[in-house]
Amino acid sequence: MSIFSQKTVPVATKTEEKDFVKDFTPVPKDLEASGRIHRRSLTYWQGALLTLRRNHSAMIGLAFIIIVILIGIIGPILYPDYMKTNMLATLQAPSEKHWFGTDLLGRDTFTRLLWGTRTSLMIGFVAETINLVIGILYGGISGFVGGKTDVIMMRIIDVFVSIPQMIILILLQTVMSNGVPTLIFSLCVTGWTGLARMVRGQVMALRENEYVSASLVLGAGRWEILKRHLLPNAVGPILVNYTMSIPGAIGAEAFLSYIGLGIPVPAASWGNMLQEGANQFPGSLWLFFSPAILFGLFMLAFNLFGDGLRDALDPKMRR
Amino acid sequence: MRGAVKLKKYLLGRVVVALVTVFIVITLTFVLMHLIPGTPFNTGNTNMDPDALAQLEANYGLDKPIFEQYLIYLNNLLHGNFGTSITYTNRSVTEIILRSFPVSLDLGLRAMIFGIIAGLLLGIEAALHHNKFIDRFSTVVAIVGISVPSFVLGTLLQLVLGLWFSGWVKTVFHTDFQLFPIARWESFRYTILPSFVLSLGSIASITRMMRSSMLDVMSQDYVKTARSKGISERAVTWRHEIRNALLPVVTIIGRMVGNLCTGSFVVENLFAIPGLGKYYVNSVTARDYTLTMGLTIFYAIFIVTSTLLVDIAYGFIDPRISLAGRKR
Repeated sequence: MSIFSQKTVPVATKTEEKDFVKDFTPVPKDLEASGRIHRRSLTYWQGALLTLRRNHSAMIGLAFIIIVILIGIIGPILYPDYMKTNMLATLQAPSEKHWFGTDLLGRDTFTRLLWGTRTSLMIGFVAETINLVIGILYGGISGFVGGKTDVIMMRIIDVFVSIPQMIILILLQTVMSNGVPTLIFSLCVTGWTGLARMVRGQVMALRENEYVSASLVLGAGRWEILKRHLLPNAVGPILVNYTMSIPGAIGAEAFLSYIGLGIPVPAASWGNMLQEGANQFPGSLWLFFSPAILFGLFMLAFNLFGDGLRDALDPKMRR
Repeated sequence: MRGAVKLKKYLLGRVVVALVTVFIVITLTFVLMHLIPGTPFNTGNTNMDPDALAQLEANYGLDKPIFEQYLIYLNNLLHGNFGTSITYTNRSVTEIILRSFPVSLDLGLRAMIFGIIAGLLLGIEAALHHNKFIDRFSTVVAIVGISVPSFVLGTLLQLVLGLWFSGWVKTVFHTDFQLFPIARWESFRYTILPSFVLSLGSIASITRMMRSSMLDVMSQDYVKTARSKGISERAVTWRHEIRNALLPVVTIIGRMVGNLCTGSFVVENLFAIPGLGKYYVNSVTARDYTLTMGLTIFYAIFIVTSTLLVDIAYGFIDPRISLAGRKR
């Protein structure tokens, strides 16, 4: 503040200098006021929330995600007939009766899209939530126990990571019966390693940090350290990892269903709707583009929100 | 000296993990495929003559105890024999691989080279003109490339460039010439769309990585030192910034191989390209178990080997590897 005011004071010429000095009366010092802190002090989470709120693309992404989640929850309740076929009205173009047209068997694409949204979202959220639990447990145990156990557990992860994920997914889909449970199971088999590694890293870093040693010396118990140091440090990265992994799981579902594995047809998911649409290509474009647009926008929204969340939760990135 | 020993240890560790991985994939594939009830010929509801069935199963060695079958399979693999396809009669999996893998490799290399060049250029330009138009553009490319899957983008391009554009060409110039054919794999123009669609994921991840890596390097002290010594701007950019920023990007090239394989499953089906990915997906949907098994193992070996090679190359390029290990 002081530098700023010095710059704006007009430079007095020599003749004016005396008047200028004469007019100058020092402001009485107000010790109480200068001791006051004007900026509200923010906790980590308040600061993160503030940064996130200022990030417009992330907020638009979040709004879109919430809308799609609501569609996935409420839509199927309002429009329950997603399997109803009508052979008299197959491959109809979008109209007032069928907003997004009908498919090869005369099923209403709009209704199927609502149900597909529910299926795809459910797969993404359930699979990644299970991965979250497995990852935290595995990484936490590996980090806390340390020593030989840690080395063995990490080698297992090394092998898991180097097996191409898509190959495990395809293999499991081939062997087990197709459907939502199989898909969630195979996403869990492949998806937990990244988080486990990260949690272990956090735990290991914590063991070596000076402030942890300091609080140990000051007599803090294990639980106290877990609560005061580990959780606040780890929750941010874990949250970001979780957010970023959900579009990955939903994309994997779409990929598998698109190549004919994944969710079998009477049920609806974004992936198998895309496949049905692609089969009709280049006719009946609404069959492909209604799920494609929703799916693409949803993935975009999730990535934008994830990026924003990562920037907001990383104190170094905060401006 | 210590660095050399550590490097050797690092390389050895990587090779061991790769070998173990391949072995586990082979065993896992074998076990999973044999968990499917019945044999490929007898799913429980065929009306085949029992004698013919037994003869058929004996031909494929399916009558032996499972552990013996496993050993035979391993032995065959060591001799480059991946088994015989069930749906394509009298064609061995090895023959299919030899015929169609070159096509996939061609497609993959085109996509990889284009992806690396475009990604690096975009990333470097974005970092050099931080917060300018090109930076925003690269951010959009990166986020769209990561979000929109190849089959959505590919279908869109087929529609716009393949059908609408060539329809327009036809009405205006009265010719059937298609600049962007949407199927098959013949001359150069057939390769443009598939290669571009396949490369988009790589472009996105390389752009993103190169941009942040460049920005990171540009704020380092040694860059400031170089500049204050009076080295020309161009030399600083090339010799100090880009060279150092390239290091972390090399690591994703290893991961790219796996992603390109996955991408080729989709792109080859979308554009009707007779590559290995198309055979793989077809074998899965046609329940051709021996083909699926052989190709799974082949893909695993291919991906693990290429990742290993990139890691080894990285070990030689990065002088810090002996200390930092490999993360991310």
